[in-house]
Amino acid sequence: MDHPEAPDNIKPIQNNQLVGNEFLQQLITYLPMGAMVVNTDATIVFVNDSLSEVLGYTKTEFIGADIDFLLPAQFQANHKKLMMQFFKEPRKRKMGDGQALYARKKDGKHIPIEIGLNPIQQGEKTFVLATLIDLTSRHKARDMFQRSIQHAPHGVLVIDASGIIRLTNSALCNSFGYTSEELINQPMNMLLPHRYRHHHDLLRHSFHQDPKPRMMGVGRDLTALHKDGREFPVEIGLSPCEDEEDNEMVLVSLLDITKRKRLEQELRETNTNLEEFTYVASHDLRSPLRGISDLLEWVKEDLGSDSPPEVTKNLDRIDVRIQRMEQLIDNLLTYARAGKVESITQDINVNALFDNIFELLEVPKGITVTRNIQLEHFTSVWTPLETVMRNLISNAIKHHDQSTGSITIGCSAENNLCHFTICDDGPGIPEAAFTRIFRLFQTVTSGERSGTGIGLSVSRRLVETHGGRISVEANQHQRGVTFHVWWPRFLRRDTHD
Amino acid sequence: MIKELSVLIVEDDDVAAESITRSLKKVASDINIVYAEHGRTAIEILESKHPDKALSSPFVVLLDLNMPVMNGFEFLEYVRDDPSLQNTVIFILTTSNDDNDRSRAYSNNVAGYMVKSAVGPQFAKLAILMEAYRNAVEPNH
Repeated sequence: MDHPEAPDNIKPIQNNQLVGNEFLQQLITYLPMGAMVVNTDATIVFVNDSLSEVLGYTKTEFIGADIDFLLPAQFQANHKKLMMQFFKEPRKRKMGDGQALYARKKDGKHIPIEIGLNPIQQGEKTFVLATLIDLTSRHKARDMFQRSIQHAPHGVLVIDASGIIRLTNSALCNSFGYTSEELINQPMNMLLPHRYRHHHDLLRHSFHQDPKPRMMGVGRDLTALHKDGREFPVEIGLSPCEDEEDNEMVLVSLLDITKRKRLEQELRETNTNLEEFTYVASHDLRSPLRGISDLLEWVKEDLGSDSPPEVTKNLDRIDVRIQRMEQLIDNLLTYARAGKVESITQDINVNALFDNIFELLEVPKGITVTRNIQLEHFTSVWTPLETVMRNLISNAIKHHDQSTGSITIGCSAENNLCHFTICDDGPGIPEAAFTRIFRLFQTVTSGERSGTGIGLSVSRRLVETHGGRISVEANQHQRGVTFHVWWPRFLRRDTHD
Repeated sequence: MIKELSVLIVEDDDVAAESITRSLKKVASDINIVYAEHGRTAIEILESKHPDKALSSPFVVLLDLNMPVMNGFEFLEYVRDDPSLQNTVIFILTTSNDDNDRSRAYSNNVAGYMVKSAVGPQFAKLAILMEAYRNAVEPNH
């Protein structure tokens, strides 16, 4: 090729080397990005250190090489033509005009890049200073952002200032029953029940006047419109953001709370039913029973002493049944009330708790009680725990069938629970009854020892409402059974308000 | 002049009413008893608007909570909101031992709260109370 000399005797390029022009060399060398100078033949005549770092080639590998070796194969064919066009009308611009550009590193990897083209005139000759920025970390950040939005567990929308949907995620599409194609570039009004649409436009404008992150419609019952025409309850958070072009946007986080609302509703109904039942049991079931009891009393009075023995016997049997019925109703109420969560928490001194229980329990002479308390303190509610332990210990004593026996009480930490064991050497419980005994009014013994069938069911209810578990198992190496109670030893937000 | 103490029994269950009457007669045979089957009737009697039942002072009201038409609490609230009736002495007599009922009754200024299943000893107490009340309203007794 012919190289006419530059008129001012500066010979910046000789044999494809940028020489003798210290100033230009330094200028390019210290650019904070990869940079190279290329001539019209697409030959690289100068590179700076940054470019070597980014692409992994040494300087000598660059100089004199054809620019195309830095391009991924699929771009090479067209590149020469594009270069020709550039040199026809050289002007400063970005390469690729918004397309994703990639460079091939020495190790064969392709990295996303941005390239700026700056024509340099040297006398007759035109060169191009190409600056190259590695976009890898920017892309990583963008991908991470997109992934975190796309896979967020709650619905996400980005709405522009005119109320058009610019971005959605999969959770949002699931909540509304649309595909993202059906939503992108559509007015967000389509997701609102009709009656809110007009007013919502005004609200959106006022948000853009004073954009601050906040929850939407606090205290109101917000609903959104599903594709099937039904509304569902939502919680919505708003936060202002800007896109790449600095347009004002709103990032909307939307939580479908249908399930929660349904559960709340069911819980409310259950509670109301239980309260009603309790009330009915304590009033309506008792009143007629009292009446029957009074009538029986008067019948006895009227009959006096000369009633036939069968009649007297049967009247007495009615009496017994009335008392039993009253007891059952009382127990039912006790059981219903066991569902209330005690809210007063305190430091539980485990030994003090058992001292309390034994102060009020009569332990027969032959029964020895051993304690093995490894966890001495934790924070919980006192009364329900004491009730449960009292029930289990008094059961062990009451049902013991021999003149001597031993009861062992254990308490140890197990993960975030406190594991209590009440082990006896009594008559045991048939394995078939292990789950049955925790149900209301179930007893496994008969006669005098028989309880009311309420203690264990109340205990189970107390344990479960306070976030624990209770079970029983037969002992391996001795008679009797061991009752296990796992009781939370840390306060939890889901069981303690 | 010795005033007889009257008792207004507000109770829908005839057996319960009879039971209360029998117990009262045991401790105070000269007591004058008037019945109302629910709160609405009781108010008519208290306001002297009832066609054939009347009540003379001094009197106390024995009130059941669970009744048709107007239950015990509705009656209580009506009486406490009415300036001419709000000083009425009212005892609750109920089958329920419900804590909520109890506190709701006392917040309406009832003179006492008795559970019917424990009526025996409670009634002795009630009789003593009524006796004291009778003496309080009859300084010349």
